[in-house]
Amino acid sequence: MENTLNNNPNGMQTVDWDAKLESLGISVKKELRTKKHAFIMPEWAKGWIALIPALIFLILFMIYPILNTFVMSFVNNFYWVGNSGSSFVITNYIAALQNTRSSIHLSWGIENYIKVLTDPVFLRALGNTGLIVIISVPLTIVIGLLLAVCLNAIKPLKGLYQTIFFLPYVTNTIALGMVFNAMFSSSAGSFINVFLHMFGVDAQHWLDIYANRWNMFAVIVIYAIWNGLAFKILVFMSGLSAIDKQYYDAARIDGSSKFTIFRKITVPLLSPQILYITITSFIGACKSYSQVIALFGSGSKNFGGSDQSEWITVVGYIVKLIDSTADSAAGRGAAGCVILLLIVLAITVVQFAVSKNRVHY
Amino acid sequence: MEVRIEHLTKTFIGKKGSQTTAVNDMSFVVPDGKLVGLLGPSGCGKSTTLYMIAGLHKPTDGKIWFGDEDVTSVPPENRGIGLVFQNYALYPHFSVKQNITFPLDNVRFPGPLDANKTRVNEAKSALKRAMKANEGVEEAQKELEEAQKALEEATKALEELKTADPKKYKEVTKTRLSKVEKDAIAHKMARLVDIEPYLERKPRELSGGQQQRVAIARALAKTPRVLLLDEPLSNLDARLRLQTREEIRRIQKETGITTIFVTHDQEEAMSISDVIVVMNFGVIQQIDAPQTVYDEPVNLFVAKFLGSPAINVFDGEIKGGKLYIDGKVFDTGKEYEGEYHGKVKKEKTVVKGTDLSLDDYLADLNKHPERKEGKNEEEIHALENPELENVEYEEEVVKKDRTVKIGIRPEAFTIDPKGGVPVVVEYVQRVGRDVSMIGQVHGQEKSSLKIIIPVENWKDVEGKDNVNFKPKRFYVFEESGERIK
Amino acid sequence: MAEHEIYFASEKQLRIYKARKIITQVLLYSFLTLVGLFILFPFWYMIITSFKSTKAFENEELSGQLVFYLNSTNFSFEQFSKVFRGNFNFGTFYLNTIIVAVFSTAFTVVTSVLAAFAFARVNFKGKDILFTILLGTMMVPGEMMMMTNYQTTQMLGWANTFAALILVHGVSVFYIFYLRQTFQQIPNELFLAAKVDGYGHFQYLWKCMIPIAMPTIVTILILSLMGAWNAYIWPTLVASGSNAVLKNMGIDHSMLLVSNGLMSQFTGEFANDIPARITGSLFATVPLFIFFLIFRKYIMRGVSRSGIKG
Repeated sequence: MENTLNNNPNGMQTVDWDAKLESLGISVKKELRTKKHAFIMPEWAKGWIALIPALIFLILFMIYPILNTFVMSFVNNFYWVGNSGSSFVITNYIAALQNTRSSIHLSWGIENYIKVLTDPVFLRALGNTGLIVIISVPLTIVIGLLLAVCLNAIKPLKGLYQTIFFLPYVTNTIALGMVFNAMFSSSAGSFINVFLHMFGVDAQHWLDIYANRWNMFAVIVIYAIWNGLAFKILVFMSGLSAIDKQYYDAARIDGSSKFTIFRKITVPLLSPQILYITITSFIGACKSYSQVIALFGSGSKNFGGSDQSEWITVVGYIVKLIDSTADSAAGRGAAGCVILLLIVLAITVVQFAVSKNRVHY
Repeated sequence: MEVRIEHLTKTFIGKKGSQTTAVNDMSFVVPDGKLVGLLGPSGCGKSTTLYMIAGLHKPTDGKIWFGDEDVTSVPPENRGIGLVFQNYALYPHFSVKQNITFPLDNVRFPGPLDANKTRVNEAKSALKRAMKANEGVEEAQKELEEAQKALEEATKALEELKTADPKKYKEVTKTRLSKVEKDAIAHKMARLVDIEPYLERKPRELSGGQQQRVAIARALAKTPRVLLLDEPLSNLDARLRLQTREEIRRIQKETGITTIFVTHDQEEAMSISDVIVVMNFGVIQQIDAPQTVYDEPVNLFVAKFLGSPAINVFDGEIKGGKLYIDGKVFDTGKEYEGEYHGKVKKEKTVVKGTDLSLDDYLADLNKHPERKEGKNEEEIHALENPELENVEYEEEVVKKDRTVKIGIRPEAFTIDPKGGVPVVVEYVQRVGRDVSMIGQVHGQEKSSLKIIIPVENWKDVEGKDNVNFKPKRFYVFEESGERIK
Repeated sequence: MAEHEIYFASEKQLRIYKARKIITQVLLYSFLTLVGLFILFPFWYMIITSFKSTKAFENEELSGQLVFYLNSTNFSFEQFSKVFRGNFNFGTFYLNTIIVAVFSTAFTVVTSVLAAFAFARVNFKGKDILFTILLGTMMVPGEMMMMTNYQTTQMLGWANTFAALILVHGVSVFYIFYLRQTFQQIPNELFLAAKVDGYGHFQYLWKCMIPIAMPTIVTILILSLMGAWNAYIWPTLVASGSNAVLKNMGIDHSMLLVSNGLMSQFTGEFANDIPARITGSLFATVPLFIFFLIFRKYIMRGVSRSGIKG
């Protein structure tokens, strides 16, 4: 210890700490080291940890329901009840595994499909949905494309117009459906009747139970267009802005007319966006529901007309069955879902096939 | 820090179980404080080698040493390396300063009692082992007691220090860098790579060369033992490349950090490296100083890979121990008297699934009639008419007289009417100080020569169709690439 | 091409060109303005009707003299008190919707970030198969899951709870896919650089990937918030009554959200009071509008970007 003690000029003894600490195994001069991880988790474990929160919910609320819907659609009878009404739920599977209810027979088959496909209401729903798809989707796309091209051709106020056209996208479908419901009410002083009066047309019934089927349809289409334009214009605009201006310059030097330019340059170069919009709109329209019930009002199961199902849609048909306690409602609903899935898949496949040679990426 | 690579091998296993050997049994040493260039064409395994040294790839076989420490299975963060990528890999959301200090957020000083604690822990486990083995328990116990005592003493001393000299105590117990210290390091590094004015900018506001210098600063911030550069100049334009290259050389010299530099650009490797490691197909071709690699290439690949314009290669012939060009004796020497042992690829037809030719197979079948027993006619027919396939095989050959490759660098030609390389001139032009010539070796229409001679010789070649040259230096290679002379 | 760059053979031609250009512009602006009015009119109608008294509105309707502006005879604040009382209470709707929107968005973002990270950055067995399955489910219409999910929530006792509104549709394959694309665009070298400096996967996610992918995350945030605000079918199915837990505590708390709260009034007290219902619509619309005006750039960019990539 002697050599670690120095005599301080002040007479006090001080310690040579450096030497003392070193002798005790405490390093004074330190070297930097990257932090060592005490435990390194294997990569696969990290992957599953990151995935598990999403996966639990996806399995429970997406994968299982999809599979279960297929199963339900092929079960003819639902006396085999869980603790929740008339459907096939997890507890049923558990019961089946434990074999506690083996005395009850499940009858498998396609009865649900037969019931659904022979149900006049479902057939009407199918026809209605088809009409909405065939009329409103092409109209919206054409108008949207036209507006996008027009918007692209102006400079001042472009942003303002763009914002205005986008507004319906950020509104609540139900809320604006109610506004349309009022605008198209059947009284003489409703907006639409006042408007038509200016052209000498008499007041008409539009959405109430006395209304003509095609008047209702007109309102449905108008609302669908009003509601659907925003997204399409936005997507087309972003596609247009990505087109190289040189194409237009080159075409103009060649003396092409504006329509030729539109047909030969704009449309082909915009084809990825057009394909995307077409597919999503067709699928979206196949699932029409909120737009229609919002227009007719009087609750979530009213689709117009005296029987409340004049303009019922496929999704509307399914929704009606979800919390219904009617005989085999769940099975029929499931069958309806599977049919809807098949329609959506068919549309997608057809559109990809048709567009194969016409889309230029 | 000296870096030693021993028998390093890396085999990647593809999706269908196919194996590709990216690096094959590679060994070399990077001397302390030197800059080594790993040079080779793309896909030759040089980046894989670098990633193995960095610890990002696990070697299939072999060892990596940093000095006396075997780091083969040490994770990258504990190897003390700095890594610079071709695309800079700067964090776009950080400022330059944050980029440089990011590695420092993760470094620690060892705690003051770490050494003592480790000793205690080791003593404890030693005691357990001893008790299990029932051997040397007493000594282990003693060691544990001593270790615990030492820890106690050290703890006490630290307590004392706390009151005696708080400032020193703080210094000793410090485990992280303070913000001020980190900033100081950032400034020091930025100064070193000459980007100090840009510390507050985002990477995208800098030019490519500046970005790469930031990346180097980041790699150097935690004073690595080894600096690894993976094609750091490839993303830069020609002018910046030259400038940054010199910058890297300067920084390396200034810091004295052992550096490994991967590149496919031979000129880059030549100008920057102390030692060049030339690789191809995962195998080291040559390790030497740049000039040596250039002057004394060990094989045709190295000769062709280094030098711009590339070396001229044409055919020669060895006959009776002499080297001929265009039918005339060009050179003599012992080297040409040897035999060539090599392998030649050939194809043969064999019965599928066996190594036998059809005749051998049938003879074998006749020898074993029991194979046909209990089989129906169809099966016997199949046995007698087996499927055939073509397989490749290698055959040893020994040749004395043979064609060889002769290599002459463009600048190694001198005009000599009696010279052994007769050249048919196609095109000749004065370019500044040089005369640049393109032609063929007489009699070899496929050969293409590029010759550069001083402009003083202009009148010797002007308007001539045939010129004879005498090479100052030439290399002779076997067709398979090995150097003969 | 700027005008002065075009060569015209004569003054006349230049005049024709200019005249044509003006006419085109006039036509363009007229057309756009017309469509703009078509888009804006329902909003205007909504606003003025909300400020009319029910009596004045009914008079206008019956007499066929609809007034498209506000004046001293039809102006009234009476509607605004109607939407804050009884079971037509926008206070409750807002509160519920905000709770659902905030929590489901947070839940969505957290799960999507983690899952997208696992798919984009981490290597583990079964990843590709799993991802393909999830992509496949994007083709399946949501209605397909509705039936079983309804039953499951009943079974779990989640009827009229926030859990049913937040958790059931909280994980979105589309957002996972969208975010994974963004994550994959981050160069691999960034990860290697971080690894060399001792940063693990999750530290890298937190310190680098999330900040770099922020624009995409903001887009997801916005789309998810808007989705929660507009949700209708699912809330109607599982949460149109009072919360059972709160009921036991003696509080009758309706679980209605903005959309289905509004819809419930078609048959309720105000079934025949059009201005009251329209005022409800106004209340359902305005918050989203304000949100849009603040984040206009993000929303429009986000929607168009997710549209193209989807």
